[in-house]
Amino acid sequence: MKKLLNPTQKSMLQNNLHHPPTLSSPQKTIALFIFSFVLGLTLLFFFSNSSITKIDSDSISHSTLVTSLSKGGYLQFQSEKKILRAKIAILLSSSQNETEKNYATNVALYLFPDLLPDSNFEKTVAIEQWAPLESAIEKKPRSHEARLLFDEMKSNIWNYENPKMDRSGLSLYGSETLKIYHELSAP
Amino acid sequence: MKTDLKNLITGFKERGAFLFPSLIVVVFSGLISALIWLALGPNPTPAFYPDDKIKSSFLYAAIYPANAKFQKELVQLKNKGSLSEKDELEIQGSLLASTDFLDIPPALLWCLLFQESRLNHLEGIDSENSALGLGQFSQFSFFEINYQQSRYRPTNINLIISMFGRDIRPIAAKRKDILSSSSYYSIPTAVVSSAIYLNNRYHQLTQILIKRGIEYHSDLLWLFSAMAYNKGTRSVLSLWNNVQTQNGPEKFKLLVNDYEYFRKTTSDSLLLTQSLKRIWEENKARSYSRELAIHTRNISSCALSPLYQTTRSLTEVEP
Repeated sequence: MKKLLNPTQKSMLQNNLHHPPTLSSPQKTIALFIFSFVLGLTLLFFFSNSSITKIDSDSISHSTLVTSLSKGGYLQFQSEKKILRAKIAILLSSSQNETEKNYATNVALYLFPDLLPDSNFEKTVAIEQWAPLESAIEKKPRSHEARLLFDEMKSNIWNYENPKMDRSGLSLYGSETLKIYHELSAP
Repeated sequence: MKTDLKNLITGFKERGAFLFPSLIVVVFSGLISALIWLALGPNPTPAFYPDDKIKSSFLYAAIYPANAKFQKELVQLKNKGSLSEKDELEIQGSLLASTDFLDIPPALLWCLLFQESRLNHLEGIDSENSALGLGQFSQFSFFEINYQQSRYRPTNINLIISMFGRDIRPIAAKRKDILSSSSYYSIPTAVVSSAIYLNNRYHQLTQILIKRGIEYHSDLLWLFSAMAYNKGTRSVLSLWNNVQTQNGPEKFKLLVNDYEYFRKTTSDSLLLTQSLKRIWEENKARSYSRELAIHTRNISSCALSPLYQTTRSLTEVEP
């Protein structure tokens, strides 16, 4: 016996179309749960990665001190340096992330050694060998005297990191710091 | 005359009854004051670190190079004519004078120079290398010797004056005037400058420990200074920070006092790489740590007394 079809069903049959399989309510819940779980994991991965990227961009902010100096002048440099100092102080005191902590320690070593913990052996060298020269350059920027102080600072940092001046060069933070004070001491 | 003498003796005997007890009181009170002064008075050398003069060197070989491989290589250098007898004697003479003046173990400075240039005082003269001569000096090593000595020990300048009769600075790698006493290509100048640069590394490292009240053995600090001479003080301090953070202050004390622990730590490539990763990116840290480990092994096997050398380090270390 032939089944009677309404016009819509007829048209669907003619076009070889079927009803899409529908999910039952528990299936929908499970699917939604899996989807949310995968989405959550993806977001977690994305944000944890972007946290590392954030450190890179912060390290750029160490180097953007040079840009701020050449474009915005000494006042902008000072204000950006203050912001960076606050960031580094927070990272040093509260960050649990090894990469962040290492970044903060390196920036502090060359720009804010007083923020380093006393247990850090490098603190003494930084406080004696470049921190006073940096302050002196900042007090008399763009002068002949500042350039002489910069030459001394440059020698101290090279002797400290790579006395043979071999292919390794200086660390990223050492060379960025020298760029900043080279710019600041240019007569 | 006889009467005068008798009167004098009697006078003394009479006065003696008063003088002798007073003398005893004066001597005793002097002794007690001296004892109190010694116990409570200011101490010129802090008790927590060894006085280099008192604590004699035990680690370094009296005859160097101590390693058979380096001895063989030294003979080869002489046979090939790369090292003349005259140059060798001049190096040795300047080295003994400098090390005696600055209290550096002679074996350490000799091995450091051997490691740096194979005792070729003209090393790099025709090249554009950044490191030159006997102690592989760079422009910044010269800067320190020429302009920053006030930061270090005054004995450095006294050594220059005692060796040359005047201050020969500024010292530079003068290619066209290698015999000038201001040229680093001149042997006595190179030896003295390298000794001063090594002494400055020692001064830098020991001051850090003294300020923190950490006891150390000067022989081991000289080995760390040789590491700093080659790879910078930062590499050494990064290793120190790593050992202190990971293993605690007690282990750190062991590192600067116990040779066996020093040897184990400086040959732990994983630990060295981990320490240097705090400064450089991974690949650079790995290659730098390899170089540092080799340098330290070579210096140790060349300069240390055979008593402190294991069979392993003697057979495996390539010059």
